[in-house]
This record gives sequence, C-alpha cells and structure tokens, in this order.
Amino acid sequence: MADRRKPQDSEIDVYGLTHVGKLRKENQDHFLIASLNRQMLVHQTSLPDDAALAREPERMAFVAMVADGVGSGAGEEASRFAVQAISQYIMRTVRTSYAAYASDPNAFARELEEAALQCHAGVLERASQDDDRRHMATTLTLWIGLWPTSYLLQVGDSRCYIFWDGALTQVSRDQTMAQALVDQGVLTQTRAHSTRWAHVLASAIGGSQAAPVVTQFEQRWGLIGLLCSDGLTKHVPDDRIAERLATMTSAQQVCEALLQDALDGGGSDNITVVAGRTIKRD
Amino acid sequence: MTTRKPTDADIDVHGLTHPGKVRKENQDHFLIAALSRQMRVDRTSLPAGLHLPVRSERMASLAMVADGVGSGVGEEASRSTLLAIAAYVERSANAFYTSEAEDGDRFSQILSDAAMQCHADLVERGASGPGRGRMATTLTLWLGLWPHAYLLHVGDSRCYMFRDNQLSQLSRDQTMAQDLVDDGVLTQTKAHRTRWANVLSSAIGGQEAAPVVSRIVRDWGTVVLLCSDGLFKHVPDERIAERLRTMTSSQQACEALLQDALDDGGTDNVTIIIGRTIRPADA
Repeated sequence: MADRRKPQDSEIDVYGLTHVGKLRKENQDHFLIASLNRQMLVHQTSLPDDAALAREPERMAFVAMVADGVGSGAGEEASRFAVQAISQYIMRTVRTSYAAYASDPNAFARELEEAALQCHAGVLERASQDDDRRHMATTLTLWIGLWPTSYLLQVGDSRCYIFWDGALTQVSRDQTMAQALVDQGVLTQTRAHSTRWAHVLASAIGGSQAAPVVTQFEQRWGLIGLLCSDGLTKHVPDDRIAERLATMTSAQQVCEALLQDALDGGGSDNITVVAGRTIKRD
Repeated sequence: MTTRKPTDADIDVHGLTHPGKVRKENQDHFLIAALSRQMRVDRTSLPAGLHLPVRSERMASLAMVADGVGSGVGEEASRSTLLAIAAYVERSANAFYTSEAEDGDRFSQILSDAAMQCHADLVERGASGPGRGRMATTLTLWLGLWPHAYLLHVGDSRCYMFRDNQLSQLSRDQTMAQDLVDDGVLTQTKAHRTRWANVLSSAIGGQEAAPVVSRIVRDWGTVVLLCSDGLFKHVPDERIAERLRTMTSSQQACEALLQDALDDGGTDNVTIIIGRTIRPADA
C-alpha cells in the first residue's frame, strides 16, 4: 500500500522548545529530537564518480524525548544525564527495523524497559556520590518511531498526547501518587489535581521507584504527537491543547502558541513542548 | 582471547590500482567502505558540545575488487558493478545490523542475490548497447561483520588470508583451467601456462555467473588481501606471504606488492586491497 510508505525527511514537521517559566530560576527540563541513521562511508575507491556513492544517510528510526529533572540543584543534571544515557543505549541496541522485531513484538518493549532501568541505576549511582545530588531524579517520556509502529516509554509525569481525527488522547499515564489514588478509587480525577499528591511522583528515573511502561501504537500519516513536561499541563487544559493542535500551521507555531498559553496561565514551572507530524507530499 | 570488536582506530586498510606497464586502460576498480549508524540531532536543549553524546558506530566493513573484461567496456562493467553492489549491500543493511542473531544463510543469500542481479543487468546492457559485445567483470567482495566475514566471489580475482604465518587462498579461481585441474585433467603447475588460464568459467555479465559465498571466522591480527590477477600473474604466493609477514602498514605492503608485479612485467592492471586489525598494546 502506497499509504504505508515511510515518510521522508522533508515530510516530517517537528519542533521542540523549553522555557524556564516565570517563577523558577533554573530550567531543569531537557528535550532531544533526533534520528538514527545509517550511512555508507567510503574510505577509499578507484571509482571516478564519488557522487553516485555519496547518498544521504537514511533515517532508520525517529526519536523524541522530554525529561523533567527533580531535586534542587541537581535536577538539571538528572534530566541531562537521562537524555544522554538513553540516547546512547538506543544507538547501541535498536535494531532499526520493524522487521527485526516482527517475530517477537515484545522484544523491543523489553529493550526499552531495560534501557530505562539502566538509566535509573546510573542516576542512583551519581546521586550516591555526594549529598547535593542525593535527591536528584527525572521523568522521561520517550517516543521512538519505527515506521509504521511507534513506541512510547514512560517514567514519571511528563506526558505524551496524540491528536488524530479531531480527537486528543493522552497516551501516557501520569505516574503520580494522585493518579495512583484515582486508579484505586480513593480520589476523583477532578479533585486529584488540587491535592498535595498531584505532583508527587510514584515512579521516576533516580527516584525511590522506577516503573517504566512501554506502549505501542500505530503511526499514521497526519497524526500529531505532542510530548510535554507538566509545566505545560499545569496551566493549559486538554481542550485548549486540542484546539491548538486542530488549528496548527507548523510544529514550531504550535509549540510557541502552547508555551505562550502556559506563560499566560502563570508559568509556575519549567515548560517543555515537542510537537511532530507527518505531512504527505505527493 | 580478545573478543572486543575492532574500532576504526584498530583497523589498518589500504587499496590501490595501477594500469600496469602494457595496457593503456585500467579496467579494474576497487572500493573500501564502512557501513555506519549515527544519531543525528535535529534539536535539543542540551548544551552545545553535548549535542552528540553518541558517535557514529561502524556496523560492517566492506571491501571489493572488480576486474572488468571486454575491450572498451570492461571498465564500465567493473565500475557499474561496484556501484550497484554497494547500493544493494547498503539497502540490505538492516539484515546485517541484526547480527546479534546472525543468520548466516540469509546473509549468504543476500550477497548471492546481489551478484545475480548485477549479472542480469550487465547481460542486458551488453545486449542492448549498440555495437557492444559482452561486458563482464570479476567481483571479489569482503563483508566484515565482526567476528565473522563473508566472502562473495565471482571470477578470478582473489582473496587471501594470512594468519599464523600461513598464507591461504580463500577464493577459488573460477577459470576453465581451474575447472580442468579440479576434474583431474590438468595439474595445478601446468594450468598456469595453458590458454585456459585466463578464460573465466564464471563472471558477472559472462556466459555464466556462479557466485560463491563463504563465511569466515575473524580474529585479531589476521591480514586479508584482495587482488586482481594482475598481481598473482607475476607475484607467486611465497612472495606475497613474505611481504605480508614483514609488512609495516597496509599501504606499505600494497605499494611493495605493486612494485613486485611491475618489476616482473606488469602485463595487466594491478589492484590490491590489504586490511588488518591491529591489537592495541595488549592489555
């Protein structure tokens, strides 16, 4: 099916930004948007037409992630370390082909969980090195696109939404104490926001517990993906996010508009937004 | 046993080609390349300098020699074959990257298919070109996927390996003379001198193409040599072994062997690729 063809670089519109907000002094959020490429590098040849060999590197996987550091002083280090460590892990292990996982669809999910746990161990080790870093931890929301499947790795309370067919869906589940209480029927969703448990992480990279969750979903042309830290969702409700995505003109425009909404709503925390979509050009 | 995979710094590889002293045109070609994967960062909040926490990683090493046959069109045959094979191998790279669960049969099939596809293309081009006869080429390809390597061979270029002070020819010459030797009709010694010595029984674009793929286990310190027949027509195996035993670098050995071939007459185009892994100061 022509529709299943993989998007080219020119058909991917993706953008990300981060902002310290209006109250905090330091930005402890980090994000990264990257692609995993393969390339043939010619060392030496007699061929006169080098140009015929100098093809553009081919994208094997698309990667986007948001990490929101926790812990005064060392939170930024935690999120930075997590983004770097998980990137290295992906680079080394991802088999960059959907077919490679076709025989065992859960293999990739297990690899991602393993990557998160290794990252968790790495942050804990750093935290043990001195007292200033003792409470450092970070959220991690990671999207890997291995067309036509996307995988989401979730630890903490940053979020991933998808916007498809006019509807906004939160793909990630907030790993907070409040959400856990809602799930157990102790709190209602509406009240949960305003309790003191709302921002207490039940799971974090470097926290007392890390419980990575991997979800898998089908990627489609025209689907919009959004990753963000809670600095956005504290101030901007889902229906506003849906409205922004429904009327977006570019990934950059919608990131900037949502950032402005969060700042206008108070900007009480660091704000990170990554938005991406595929646009078919034939 | 050193099981670590060699990094770029541990690899010493060089290639060269020369028209020889008699022929006007060089119809040989060679290519040395690496298949790599890398992370390209589009946008990030990480401070500059930390943008690329992940460097490009070598996934596979590729070396090829092709010796074109057919006056006027031989060069085109070897050139287009190397380009096509390089593209084919690159496209199939996914299969090679899954080498955690290396599937030797599948790799062999991919390489063999690549050769047969090139063969079909050349046969068609030879037939369709106005006033052009058959265009053909040999192809000797080395694909290193540590700790193994795959050798794809068509024709009479050669692949040698030098290990434990011993030179062994890994490829079998696909010539009429070698076929007669294998059938017991000729002795190896006499075979060189017959008129069948340089008649290919299998070639890309020839009457027949019979690609052979073999799988080799690699180890640190082995030296690999690929060459066209312009080298071994003039330089006997003992001399090649001596050059590899005393080599100081791949470039030095390539140049010394080329000079040996030229000194002995240089009647054909000479192409040589030498590669080795150098065990870092042993830990």
